[in-house]
Amino acid sequence: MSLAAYQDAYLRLMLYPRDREDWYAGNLPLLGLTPAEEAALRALPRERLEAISSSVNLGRISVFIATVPATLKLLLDPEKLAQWAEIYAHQYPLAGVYPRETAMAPWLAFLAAQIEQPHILDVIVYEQARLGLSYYRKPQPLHEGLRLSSRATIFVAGPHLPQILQALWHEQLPSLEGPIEPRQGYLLWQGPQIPELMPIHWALYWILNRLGGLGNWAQWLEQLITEHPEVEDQRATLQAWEPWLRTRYLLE
Amino acid sequence: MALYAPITLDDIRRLLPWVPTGPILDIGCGAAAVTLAFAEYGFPVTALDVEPDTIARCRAAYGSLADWHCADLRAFELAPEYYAAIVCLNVFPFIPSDEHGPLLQRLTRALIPGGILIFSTFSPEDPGAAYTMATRLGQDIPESTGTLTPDQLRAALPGWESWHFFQGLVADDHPPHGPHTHGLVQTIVRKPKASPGIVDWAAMPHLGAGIGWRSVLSELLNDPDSTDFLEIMTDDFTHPQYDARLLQLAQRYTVIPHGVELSVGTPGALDAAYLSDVRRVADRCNAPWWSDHICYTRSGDFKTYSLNPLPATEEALQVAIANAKGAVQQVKRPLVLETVAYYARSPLSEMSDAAFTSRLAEGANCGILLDVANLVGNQLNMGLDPHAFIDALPRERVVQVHLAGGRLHQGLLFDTHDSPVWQETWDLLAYALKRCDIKAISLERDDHYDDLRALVDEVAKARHLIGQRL
Ligand SMILES: [Fe+2]
Ligand SMILES: [Fe+2]
Repeated sequence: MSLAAYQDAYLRLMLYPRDREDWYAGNLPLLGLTPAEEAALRALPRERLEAISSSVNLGRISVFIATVPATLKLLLDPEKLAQWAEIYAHQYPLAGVYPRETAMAPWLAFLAAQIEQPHILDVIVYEQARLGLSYYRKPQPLHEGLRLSSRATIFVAGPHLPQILQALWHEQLPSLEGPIEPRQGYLLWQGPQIPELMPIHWALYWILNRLGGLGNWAQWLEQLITEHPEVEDQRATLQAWEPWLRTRYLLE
Repeated sequence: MALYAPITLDDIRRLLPWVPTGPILDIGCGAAAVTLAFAEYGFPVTALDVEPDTIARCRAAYGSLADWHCADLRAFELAPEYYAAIVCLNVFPFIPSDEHGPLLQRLTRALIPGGILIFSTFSPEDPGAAYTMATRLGQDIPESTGTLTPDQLRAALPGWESWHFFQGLVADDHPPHGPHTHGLVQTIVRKPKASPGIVDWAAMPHLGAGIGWRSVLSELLNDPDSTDFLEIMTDDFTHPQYDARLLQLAQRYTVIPHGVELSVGTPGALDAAYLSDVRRVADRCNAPWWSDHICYTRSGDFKTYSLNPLPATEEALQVAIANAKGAVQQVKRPLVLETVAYYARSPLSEMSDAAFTSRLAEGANCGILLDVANLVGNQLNMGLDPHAFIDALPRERVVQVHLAGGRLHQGLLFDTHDSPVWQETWDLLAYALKRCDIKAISLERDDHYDDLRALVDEVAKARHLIGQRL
C-alpha cells in the first residue's frame, strides 16, 4: 500500500514547489511508490503546483495570524507578525492550531524567539500559561498526593505584567517601559469565563512548584523551612494558603 | 487503583459541556446549588423537592430560572428517554432500600441515550444505616435509612460509560448532629448510545436555507427571518470553553456542525480525541447530521488546512469508506461528506469523481453535501462537467448544498468563500434542486462581511428556490 506515501509526497510538492527538482532526484525513488504513482507525481505541472501552493500557504498563514491571542496582536506590528507567520508556516509543515490547548504552544514559542522586548515576552508567557488551562473537564482520577488543578498554573514574569494585561484587556496600548526586575511568581487560574491572575510570594511559589501529585502541603512546607529558615515566621500564613486554594478548587 | 474524591459542585460545573442538549432533572434540589449551575449555563431544569418550604424558598429566590415542583420522586411521573441529565444526590437514603432497584430503573429509563446520571447515596457502611430515616410512600411508617451497595449500583447501570465512581466515608457537619461521617457510594455515568444503523436519508428533516455561522454575523441573528438554520465550523467549538455559547445557538436554531479535520482519506488510525470532541459538539447541536469533506488534510509529515482531493482509486475509496464508517461509530450521528474543489486531478484516478463519491456514500452509509460553487470551480479549473456529476449521484443521499463565492488567483478559481455567489452557481443550484432530494442549503462566507444585507438576500434567494421545489 503506498497511498500514504503518495499523499505525503503530493503535499510536500504542493507546499514546496520550488524545491521539487532536487526533491524528485533525491527522494522520490526511495518512497516505495508504484511506477504509476511516481509518474503521476512527476506529471504535476509546475505552474499549477505553484498556484495551489500559494493559495494553500496564504490560507495557512492567515490561520496562524488569526489565532494569535488578542493581547499579543495589539502589541505586535502586523507586518512583522505576517512575516513571522509566513516563516513559521514554511518551516513547520506539521504545525497547526487545533486543538488550541496544545497546538498553539509551539507557535507562541516561535514568536517568543523572534521578540526581544521583555514586557512582550511576559505577555507571551502569560498567554502560553492560559492556553494550557482548561476550566471544563470530565471527572478524572486523582493522584495520591496533592497537585494544582488542571484549571490552574504558575509562572514567572516581570513585575508589570498585571498593568500591561489590564491595558490590553481594555484594548489599549500599555507602556512597555519600566523595570523588568525583580521577576515575580504568578498564580493563574481559569474560571468559567475569565482567567484570574495573582502575584504570589516566592515561598508560596516554591511550594506550588513542587506539588505534582506526590506529598502533601505540610511535608513541602517543612522542607521549605528547612532549606530557607528565613521564612520560619511565615509558617502560619503559608499553612493558611492550603485551605484558601482548596475552597477555590485549585488543588486536587 | 485510581482514587476518587466525592462529587463536588465544582465537578458538576466543569462537566456541563459533556451533558447533551436537553432538559435536566434535579431531584432533591435543596438550596438549588446544582439547579442553578445547570440553569445559569443555559439548560432548562426541572427541580424537585419533597419539602414545600424548600420549593417555596427556591421559587421566591430564583423564580423562572427553573421549573420548581414539590413532589416525592416516587410519585413523580418520569417520561421515558426525556432528560439529558438526572442529578440525584443523597435522596435515596430517605427511601426504603427495597424500593431502590425499581426506582433506579425508572431514572435510567428517563434519560436519553447518551444522557448523564449524577448519583449519590448512602452505602451500608454509613453510620446512620441502622437509624430510621426512610419512609414508605403513602404510609407514615418509619424504616431504617435506605442504603445501596456499590455492586447494586453498578449492576443497575450495565454497559454505561463510567466517568466517576466513589465509595468511602466522607466528613459532614450540619445541625442537629454537628460533625459526623457518611458512607457514600457515588457515580457519574453516561447512558449507552447506539451508532446510527441504516440511515433513511429521505426521512431527514427539511431545514430550508441557512448560513455558515461566524461570530461577526451575530447581529444577523437579531432578525429571526434572516436564516432557517445555522451551520457552524465544528473545529471552532471543539474547545469546551465555547460550549455555553453553542448551547444558546442550539436552543434557537437547528445547528449543523461542519468540520475540516476528519481527513477521511488519510490511511491509518482516525483521531479518536478529535472525534470525541466532534461527538460533544454534535450532541450539543443535537444535529440531524454532521459533515466533513471527501479529502485528506494531513499526511505523516504535513498538515495543510487545505482540502486536498483524493485520487479516485479503489485503494483510496476503501480507506475513505473504512474511515467514514469508523467516524460514524465514534460520533454516533449520521455523517454527510462534502464534494471538494479540484485544482489538480490525479492521473491515477480509475473512476469518475461522481462514481467515487457515490460508492463512498453508499459503502459508508453517508449522505452527500454538494458544494455547487466547487462544481463551478472544477469546471473552470479542470474542465469537469458539473451536470454529469450531479446526474450520476444517488439523488436521495444528496441532503445538503453549499453556496459560496470564490476568487480567481493565478488563473484558477479558488474556493475562498469571500464574495457573492456567482450566477453559474445559482444555475447549478436550480439544476441540483430538480434532481436531488435536498433538505438544506447553506451559504458560506468567511471574509468580506461589509454588506450583511446582501448576505441575507442570498439566503432569501436560496430559500425561495428550495421553497419552489418543496
Ligand atoms: Fe466545506
Ligand atoms: Fe463548501
